[in-house]
Amino acid sequence: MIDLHDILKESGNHQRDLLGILHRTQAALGFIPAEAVATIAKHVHLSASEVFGVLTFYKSFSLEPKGEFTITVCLGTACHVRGAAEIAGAFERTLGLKAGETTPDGKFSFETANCLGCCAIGPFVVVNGTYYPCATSRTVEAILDLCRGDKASA
Amino acid sequence: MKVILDGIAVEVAEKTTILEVARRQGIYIPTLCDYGRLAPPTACRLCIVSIKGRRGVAPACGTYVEDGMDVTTSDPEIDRMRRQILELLLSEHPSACLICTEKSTCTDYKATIRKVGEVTGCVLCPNNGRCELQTVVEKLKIDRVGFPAVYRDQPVHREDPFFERNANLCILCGRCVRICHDVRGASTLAFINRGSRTLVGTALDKPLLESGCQFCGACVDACPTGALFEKGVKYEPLPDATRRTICGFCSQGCQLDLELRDGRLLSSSPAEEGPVNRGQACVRGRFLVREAVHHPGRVLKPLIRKNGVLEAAGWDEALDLVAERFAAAKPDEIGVVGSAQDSCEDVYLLHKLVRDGLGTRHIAGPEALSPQARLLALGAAQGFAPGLNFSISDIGRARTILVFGSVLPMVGLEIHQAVRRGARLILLGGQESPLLRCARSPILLPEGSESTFLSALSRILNEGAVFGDGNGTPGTAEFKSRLHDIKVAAAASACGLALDKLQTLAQLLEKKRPTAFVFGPEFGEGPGGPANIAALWNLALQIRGLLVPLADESNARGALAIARAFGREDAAEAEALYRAVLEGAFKTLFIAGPAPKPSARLAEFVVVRDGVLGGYAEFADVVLPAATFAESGGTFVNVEGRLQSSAPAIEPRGESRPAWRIACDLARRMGLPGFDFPGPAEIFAELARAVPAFLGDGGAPADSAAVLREPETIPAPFAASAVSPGGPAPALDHNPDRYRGLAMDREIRSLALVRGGNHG
Repeated sequence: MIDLHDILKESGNHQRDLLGILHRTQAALGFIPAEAVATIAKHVHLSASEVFGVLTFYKSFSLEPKGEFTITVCLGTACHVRGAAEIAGAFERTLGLKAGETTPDGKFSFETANCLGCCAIGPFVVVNGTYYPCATSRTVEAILDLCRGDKASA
Repeated sequence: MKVILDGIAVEVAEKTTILEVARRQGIYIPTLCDYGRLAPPTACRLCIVSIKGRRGVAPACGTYVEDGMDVTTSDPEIDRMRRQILELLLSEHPSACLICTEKSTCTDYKATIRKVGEVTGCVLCPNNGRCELQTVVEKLKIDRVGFPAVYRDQPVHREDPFFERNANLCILCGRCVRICHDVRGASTLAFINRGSRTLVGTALDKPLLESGCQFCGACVDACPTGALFEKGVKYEPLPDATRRTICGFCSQGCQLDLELRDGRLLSSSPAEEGPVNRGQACVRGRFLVREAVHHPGRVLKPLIRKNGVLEAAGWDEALDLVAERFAAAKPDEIGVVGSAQDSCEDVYLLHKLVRDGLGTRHIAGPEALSPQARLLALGAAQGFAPGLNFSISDIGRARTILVFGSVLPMVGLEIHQAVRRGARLILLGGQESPLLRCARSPILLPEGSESTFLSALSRILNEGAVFGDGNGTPGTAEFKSRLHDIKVAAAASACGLALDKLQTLAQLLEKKRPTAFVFGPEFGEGPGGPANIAALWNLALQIRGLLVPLADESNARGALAIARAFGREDAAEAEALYRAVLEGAFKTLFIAGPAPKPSARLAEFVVVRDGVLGGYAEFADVVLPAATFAESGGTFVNVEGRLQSSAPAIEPRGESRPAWRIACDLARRMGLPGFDFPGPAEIFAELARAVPAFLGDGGAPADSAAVLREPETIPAPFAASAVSPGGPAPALDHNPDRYRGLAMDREIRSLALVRGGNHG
């Protein structure tokens, strides 16, 4: 497993390197641990508050560990007019959580996004980087079953 | 160029913003995010104006005027837009009182209802009456908010000392965030979250104490609302007077505005016009003046020891006793310890009293141990007179800055600006310094290796093609031959540095000039002190660097100039005197400043002139209460050599008296002539005649815009290495957190928290 020090060793130490470091940390650890904020800040010569400001600005970063599967429903305009809100609602009802939360068993995290740029295939769902186009509230169960049954696809 | 503003043609210079022109013309344009020296962020959009021939509106704060520009600052459409913007802001700010029709009659009842947990309206807000949002609402005549109210429901941060943060009142103008970043270089506050959930906060929402905050209070001064508010004045009424004073806590000479109510000190804030601080202060100047002046430990009456206990007495009784004992003592058995936190008038009269009345040569103050005194000592030993005046703003122009130990706050800001402009900061020691973030690679030199380090740099610079600019300076040949004896590799290992690192540093000094060398009192202290000063002098001469000696005490430069006129400036003699005090060599002691304290009372008669009971008071037979700088005013010479004077801002508390008055009173009791002064002005006039350094250009006493006069600088030579005379010196407490015997970093709880808890 890659830890923060490896990431920092391979990254530049200027302000411009901050986003890259945060992305790599998020990818490697699944979240940005609170203790990492000061370490990263020191590395890029910023204050911890500035780093915290950046990482709370972007939805890509999380301070909490994420579930095994992160499910993102796009709520952009194009998806919205094709009923994305209903899909999001279906996930929330089925999983019993709200956007931004993780199931107690650590299996699923559910998020919404404002636009992921694939408007042509909307409404769509992203599970750990895999895109499920033209989703409907009826395909929600199918997507979840796929996750539960076949870890390899995720 | 010419522009037309609301139909009136105005002649303006280039690079002037529309807002600046309007303000000069006395035309009101509402603003909320524009603030002082900060670059305009054009965030609040309240300053929108319309420009003829351009589509839409433009922000006046961020738009430069152009020749022939025709600007309308107000018309019904602009006013409508401004009101709408303001209504949007108010929908997120408790605004019930702002738009209340009863607001003019409400003021009589607001005194106590502010003691509430949540601020839901102006009458409950500590900022009521000082608020810029109130002003703008008044000017724009808002009488309703056409948007649904949103309450952010954020917890109020009350956990930190000195000020509170209430995000529910924040309008997100960003002034605090920008001042913290652009001017203070701390970036403790930042915008966190995004969009409608944006807040001003710290990393992980931690208290400021754990976020590296220095509590300079710049954000509190910048805040237009009550979102950041000083705790000390939260329940105080509005001030009825403001007095300008020179901060007496450290040697920078920041100008402060003291707010008073019924003669009582409410708070202090930095003056925009202060030539050194330009609207900035540190935690001491911003929050501690009131704490120090109103400290419960202040001695407010003279005290006399009776049956082993210090008891309150009248001034007459105390002064009579002191005068009698001083007159009876043999001059050689009297020791006097002065203060460099006294004004020039105070210091001058103390020296005069000691010379004329006590007849002793045994007087010394902390100024004799200042880095300036060490430089003078080096010059005196080797036949030259180093110039001590400099300008703090010159540091900002340096391209390489070497800092030994910690620095004073305004010097730190200047260094921060230099680093922002691309200067390299080399921090030697000072691992706790808030400058740490500016330094790419701080170096921790082993104790006592400073002179080796500096000489090795000189040696490397000597080897290269360039011998700095020092060629042709007297003593070059001897200096060069001495450099040849230095083994660079051995020096590097003695400093715990790799050889190539030392060489890189030397290259940096050669290439990135000018260089500023910043050093404090510790640098010239101890056995290696004189050698450090000599090595630094030579390196600075070699590359034409700027020497920035930082004394801690507010009037170290003035006290040094006066002590010099009385022949009492010698560092070695001062150290010997402090040693003698510690060893109990004097039968009679007059302690008017910081002094090393023996473990037991050794003198027969001890007079302590101080602000609080503590330290030496334990051994005192008589305690004479001295007033603080806010109460006595006077002339102070800051670390640059700048003369500044101020009048007393408030009456001395209790029966305390200004130090100059205590000296006069004592002298008169002892029957000495020449101590009848109605006030500091007359003392200063005599001082300027006695000490030519205080003469202005015309030969009259220098005014407050002048700098200390220095002797003609003769071409200064390279110095031979110096050794420390005498034995180990007793360490004097160099710490700007100490004032008139008050250890603010221990006795004032909020400062103790800041000093103890700063790991940022």
